[in-house]
Amino acid sequence: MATIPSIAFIPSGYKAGKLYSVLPTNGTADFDFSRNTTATRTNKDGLIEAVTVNTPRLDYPLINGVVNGCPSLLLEPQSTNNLVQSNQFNTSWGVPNGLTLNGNQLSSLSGGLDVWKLESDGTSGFLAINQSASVTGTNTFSIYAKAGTNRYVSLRGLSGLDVRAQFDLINGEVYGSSNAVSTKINHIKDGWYRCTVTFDASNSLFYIYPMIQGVADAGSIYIQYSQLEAGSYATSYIPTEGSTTTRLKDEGSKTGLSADINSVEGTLFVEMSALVDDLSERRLSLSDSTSSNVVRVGYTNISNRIIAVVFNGSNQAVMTYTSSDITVKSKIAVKYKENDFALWVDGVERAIDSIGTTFSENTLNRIGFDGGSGVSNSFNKTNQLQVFKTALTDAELAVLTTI
Amino acid sequence: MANEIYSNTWWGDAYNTAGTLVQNPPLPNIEAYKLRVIGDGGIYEVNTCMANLASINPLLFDSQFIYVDRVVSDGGVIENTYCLALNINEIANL
Repeated sequence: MATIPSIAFIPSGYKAGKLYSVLPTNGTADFDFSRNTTATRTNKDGLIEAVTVNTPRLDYPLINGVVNGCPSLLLEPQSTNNLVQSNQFNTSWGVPNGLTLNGNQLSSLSGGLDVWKLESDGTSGFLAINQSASVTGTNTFSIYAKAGTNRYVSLRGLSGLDVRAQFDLINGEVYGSSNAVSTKINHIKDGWYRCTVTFDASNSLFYIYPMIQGVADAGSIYIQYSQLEAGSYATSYIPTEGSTTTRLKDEGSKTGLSADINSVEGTLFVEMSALVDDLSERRLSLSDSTSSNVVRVGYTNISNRIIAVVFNGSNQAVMTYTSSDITVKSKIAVKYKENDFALWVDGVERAIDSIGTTFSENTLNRIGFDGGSGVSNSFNKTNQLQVFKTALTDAELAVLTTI
Repeated sequence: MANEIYSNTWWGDAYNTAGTLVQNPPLPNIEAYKLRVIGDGGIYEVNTCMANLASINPLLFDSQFIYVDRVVSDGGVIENTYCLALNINEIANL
């Protein structure tokens, strides 16, 4: 007979404020979900779509522009788009002589007609639309762009530090950069790329060029959905219309689960990938609704490090594994039982601890996409989650975690 | 509230370019079903599957059935039932 989890969550059923778990069937482990703002996701048709307040986001992976594979639950931190007009490029954006903007172009990444054609007359290599926005520290500036008759787009930030990045929209490559912490270009679909530059500076003017900056080039590119946000990577698109806009963080948890979680022994399994390797603490846990008694797994302050911890007032097991890339999906399981702890990742036992205690019966009563009490949120993409009331055998763990 | 399994052929047959039947269903040891869930919001249909190994706990299939019914009846949205079925079969094969 198969070993059945007591809790099984597969991203598929949801409504505002709730994520449904497949098991248990009585619904006691359905997650309470909150994000008190709207947000966007990539839907099953591969389109960027707005999602209403407190509604979980099932985000679909795109491979070569086509939805390919099962969706994940997208859990993101709070972020603010500091550009006051993210897609109305003829408002709040300066447009110099020699540049022409035409809206309602093409079928957009959201399925509408909100693409803009940005065309240079070739009289200068410094023709760019620009918007003022004062930011300081580590920030990320991004734009979705597609080649027209020109193949390059350049992003620039100015005032404190002249940050520049150029992107090739035909080959999908970063052409060059200066003063950037990092640059990135991701193919979305149909020739559209998300171009991103991260910098660490106090800057107040941001530019988009339909060419390699400094190289006078007559022609056009297509653009949409600009974003300027704090942090080291571009999060999901946050539309703005006249003012900066904040997307609050995604949070999910459920309490009252002492009958579904075995405190004495058990297994916590998750299939997930990190949004970024930014050395922040991101945890998924079984707990007593505090951080005093917790079984947790997640990412930590060491690059690409996966960590599992069993803590009952003191650390009983701390097991780690350094992955080649935590932004790639992994199947992770932590087994806990007195004097028998293990961390499995992708079909292999990566760490063990054979000394330690667990918890008294009925101690653990909560599952959460956090460290146990609402902090160290598990910002990631979760593909599935299971809780077992037994410490699984090595054979079961191998099957469970093999990709 | 009423539910029924009214077809086990939703997956249909798959043929190669020479016209030869190559697979049905496309995964080994999997049976395909079409479920019809009648909830407060109307009729909801879902294509699904389950492992047909003798060792599999049939409660897993019931769980999926109950899950879809429960979500729909509660006014929730169901997406990607294929992935749901695939993952449930992973559980079943543990």
